[in-house]
Amino acid sequence: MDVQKEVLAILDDLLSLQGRAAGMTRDTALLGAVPELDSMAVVGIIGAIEERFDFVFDDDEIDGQTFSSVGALVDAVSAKLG
Amino acid sequence: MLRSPPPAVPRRGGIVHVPAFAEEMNKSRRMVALQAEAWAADGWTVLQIDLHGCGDSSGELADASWETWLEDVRLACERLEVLGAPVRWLWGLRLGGLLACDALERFGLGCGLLLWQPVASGAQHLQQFLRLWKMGQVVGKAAASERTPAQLLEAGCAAEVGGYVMSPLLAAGMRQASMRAARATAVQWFQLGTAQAEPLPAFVKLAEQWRTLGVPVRHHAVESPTFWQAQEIEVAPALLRASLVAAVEDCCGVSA
Repeated sequence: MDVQKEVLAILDDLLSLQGRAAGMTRDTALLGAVPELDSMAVVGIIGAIEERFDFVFDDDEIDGQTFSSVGALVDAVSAKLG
Repeated sequence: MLRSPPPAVPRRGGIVHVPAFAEEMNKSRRMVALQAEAWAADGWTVLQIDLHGCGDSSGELADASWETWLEDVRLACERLEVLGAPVRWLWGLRLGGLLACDALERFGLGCGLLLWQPVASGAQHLQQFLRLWKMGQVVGKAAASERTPAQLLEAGCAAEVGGYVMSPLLAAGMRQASMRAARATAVQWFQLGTAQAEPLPAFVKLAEQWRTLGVPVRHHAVESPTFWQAQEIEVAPALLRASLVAAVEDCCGVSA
């Protein structure tokens, strides 16, 4: 399973990026760089990730760092998948 | 909001829409309106309810509870009965799906469940909602607060989250709500995302329980954007078409 591809698909869907997420890499900055990424979007993305991969993030597993870049988010998901 | 079929169209019965919660309801307005219009044109009488404290309802969200919401659903069914359009489907979106299920069981409503991406766990949904507060802090836009919403609710106080006031009663009711299979005439479950998606584990478990009760169950994987959460207002034509067909099926693929 390509975790990065799945995460980018979720980002594209929830942020209405119209396919632009496909061009993102691990280094692409998220929080602060993508204007559509507000607190509501962050919550939606976490929820979508949880439902897609069937796990639950504890509150202390998500902070500003998690959403700093695509790579950081993908790593957080991969860590949960074990 | 009530939509009735045009004069020349044969009447099919009633559909009650049980909405999503908070921002999910806001973002899904257009898609819900489109579906309601399509169904009305096809002969259905569609009633969209504003749950206590939501939308145009007269109450305050701070006074809402899961119990008052269940009653809102029951009253809507009663209203359609009185109007001569007995409810054939409770059409629940997201948390509305869970509420519809609960109401069906509580009041023995004897109709079908047509569910769009239903929430199976009220506790999980509440947790996701309360996250808005923490993420407001993470994104750096919210004022710091001494107590978290979870702590406030625990203490029996209302908590403001993302512009919505959550009452402790509503939180408690939501936390306890969990989808259970009860006797419906039929269940049409719409999983929204890609048309090739496998049924989610939550569905598989419930479908087994429904089938044990002799309830016909149909799962639809439909191509659709996450319109109840996406940044831009989105619609899903495939979902409109599939729902139109499903409402007149008897779940064995036969059109009524």
